[in-house]
Amino acid sequence: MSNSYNQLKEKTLLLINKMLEFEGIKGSKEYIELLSSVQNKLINEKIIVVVAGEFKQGKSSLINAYLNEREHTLFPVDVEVTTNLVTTISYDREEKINVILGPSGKEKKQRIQREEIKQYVTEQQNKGNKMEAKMLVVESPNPLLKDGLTIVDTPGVGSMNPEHSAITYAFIPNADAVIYASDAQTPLSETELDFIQRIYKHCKNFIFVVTKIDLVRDYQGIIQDNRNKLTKFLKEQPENIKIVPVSSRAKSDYLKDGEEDDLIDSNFTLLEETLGHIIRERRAELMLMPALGTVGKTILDLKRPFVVEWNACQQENKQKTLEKQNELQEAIKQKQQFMEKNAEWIMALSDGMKKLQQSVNYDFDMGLSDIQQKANTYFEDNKKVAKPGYLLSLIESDINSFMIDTSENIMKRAAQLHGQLSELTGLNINQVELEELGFQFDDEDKEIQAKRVDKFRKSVAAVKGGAFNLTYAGGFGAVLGGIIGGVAGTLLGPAGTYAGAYYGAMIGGGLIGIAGAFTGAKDAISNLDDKDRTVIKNKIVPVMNDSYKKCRYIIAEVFGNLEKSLRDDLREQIKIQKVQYEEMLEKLKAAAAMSSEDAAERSKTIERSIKTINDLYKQFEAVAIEVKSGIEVAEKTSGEQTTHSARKSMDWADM
Amino acid sequence: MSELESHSLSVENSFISIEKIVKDIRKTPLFRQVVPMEAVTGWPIPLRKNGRVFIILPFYGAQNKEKGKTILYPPLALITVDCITMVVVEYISTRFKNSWPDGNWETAAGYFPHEAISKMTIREYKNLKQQLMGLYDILIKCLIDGTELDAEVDAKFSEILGILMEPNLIPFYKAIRPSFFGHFLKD
Repeated sequence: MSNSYNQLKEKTLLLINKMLEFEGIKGSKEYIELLSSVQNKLINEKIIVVVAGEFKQGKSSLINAYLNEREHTLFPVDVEVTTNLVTTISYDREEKINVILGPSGKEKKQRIQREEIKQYVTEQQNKGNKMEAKMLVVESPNPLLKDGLTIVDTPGVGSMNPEHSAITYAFIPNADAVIYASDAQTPLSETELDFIQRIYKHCKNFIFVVTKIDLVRDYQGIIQDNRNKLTKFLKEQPENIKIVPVSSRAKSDYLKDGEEDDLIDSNFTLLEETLGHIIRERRAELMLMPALGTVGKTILDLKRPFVVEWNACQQENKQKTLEKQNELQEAIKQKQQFMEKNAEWIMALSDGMKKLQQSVNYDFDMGLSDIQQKANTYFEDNKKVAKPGYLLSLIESDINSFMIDTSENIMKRAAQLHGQLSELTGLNINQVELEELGFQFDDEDKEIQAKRVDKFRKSVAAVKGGAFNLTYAGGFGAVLGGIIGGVAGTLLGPAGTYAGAYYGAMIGGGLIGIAGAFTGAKDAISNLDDKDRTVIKNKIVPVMNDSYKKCRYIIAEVFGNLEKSLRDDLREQIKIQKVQYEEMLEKLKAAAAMSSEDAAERSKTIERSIKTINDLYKQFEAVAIEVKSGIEVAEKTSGEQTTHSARKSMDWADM
Repeated sequence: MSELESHSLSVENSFISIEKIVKDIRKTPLFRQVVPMEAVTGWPIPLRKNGRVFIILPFYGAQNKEKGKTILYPPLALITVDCITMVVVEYISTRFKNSWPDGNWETAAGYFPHEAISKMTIREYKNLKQQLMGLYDILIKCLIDGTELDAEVDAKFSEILGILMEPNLIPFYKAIRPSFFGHFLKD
């Protein structure tokens, strides 16, 4: 990135503040609300980092060390202790610890003290999760969390509790980064590689942290071995796999005695840098691009009525003014027609949804058939049959992964449909449309446009283009999260709110529902004395069938709400545009009725407003270019193809 | 853990941070032995040789005689490190050997803050410096990866370095590494 994420975020927030202070926006309630919501989203954004890995790999120690926690009470660590619960930690001014308890669907939030954490999160004190704890939600005044960082500590790979695995899966696609912890004493096992491979496709921002390097003399061999395996399993170039060796013990020593050498030995600075780098890239794309897309469009929307009024104030040609009024009246009429119940686009939406559902259903059936085939290969594998609990975990994680794929697929296609309908209803209006309506921009604006360098335009256009899809996917997910993700929202407490900011709440809710099918089955199967293939298969197949039914139910629910969400969203946008046209028409009429002196005076006022808007647009362009170029640089440095013409030879570095 | 071992940790990460290199060089025995502790680090100079990337770190003296004005001296020492392994490959005392024998390397050459930055707030100056450090990281990453530098990054680097560099020190930097400073500090 050419600039740090926080600086770019500050610039974007400053621009939004300036827009909210602009006199010309005062009467536009909808734009004030829109910008305020973008502002709030940026201020309150959560950066989610999931820490995953097998049992006893030092995950909790790693988090304690990362957060500079000298006491190990938030994430308990001990030789005999293993974490068995998903724990989230995020910022608040005072420490609050809540545990989500109770049977599925009847969860309750219970406030606890630090000292009580062990009773809920450790396998030793909460054996087999007899307390029915689902999740621990910690809010802490730790300054490292102040910028929105949320760390999610997960139980080991293949946790015995399906609901905990499901919650882990719900977080993965929403995570900004996944830290996968493994021990420097042993190379990555087949189970670990299998788990990594499954979650990698849902979140590619992985950092492989090799823990406990203080216990091994030559950990470089383990690192090389891990790199070779990961390269092969993930089909990535070795240099794209980020491995950071750390010593949580050395960091802990540093926190106790302040010896700088301990900090160097811990290598945590490198971990912080690596994580910071990943987060900056992802956040710029995920948060700043959509925010700037909205900002840019709002500036142009604000400008439009001023341009129209300014043109009318020139009072040069009454006939022309009348023509413009007629054109606007036509546009208003069209928007009114779009708002009718039987409007063409509503039919198109209905047709589009039917096609979408058919296609998703087809993919869904194919996917289930794949899961079934995979399961058959597991049943043929003697090693897996000998460990039926693990076998069931594999099927469970196949289903979780498949549901994440399916929901991402639905989101993507729904966003495409939304784009087509926006086209049909003229919602993707831009300045060109104004010119088509016969309005001319003022001279300064023309000059600015003429001066604008091509690449700037392209950058801004790309920001806007990217913004649409991302904004839509995000907003839409939030709607779905609110409706279907209700289960996850209740279950996850505050965490559900931000998981639902995308579409995680929906997936989470769904996955936890599916997990219900597996609950109990794992214990029953693991305790089987007879490891006979047929007996195991007979136990597992009904669980699979039950979870398939739940999957179908979730997909049907999604579609039930999807059409309504899309329709409401588009209708709202059409309404806003109609109101804007009506205001323009009123201003046009008022200007035509003015005396020439009043019109001249009004022109001057409008010119000042247009100048302010042009300035805001210039500032928007500057920030947008900076964000876009930062992302491009990041993409290029990630090894993507680049245009040769925009590049320079670096022979000045050669010796 | 030995010093060499702790440096080798960096090998496992593909992100090189110039700020970390600048910080870590001070922990090396060589630095402690040959460079006065109070010496300030100058603008780093990336270097590519046989496919490997090195950083030349200049160190100069600074004296704060009056409030808000620091006297700057030309670089007195140059240490070159392999930017991946942090192994020191060269040390030069500019008072013993330099590529501009006619220049006066021992007396004061300029002031901080110079005119271009004297009107900035401390925060603005820090932000700009931070930006330049970020661009250094991109530049070094491109050299390591063998990818070419984006024209916009190249221009931005040139622009910021031009603002932050004390004009009177330019001839010394150009003498140290004409190709680098000739490219980024155009007359």
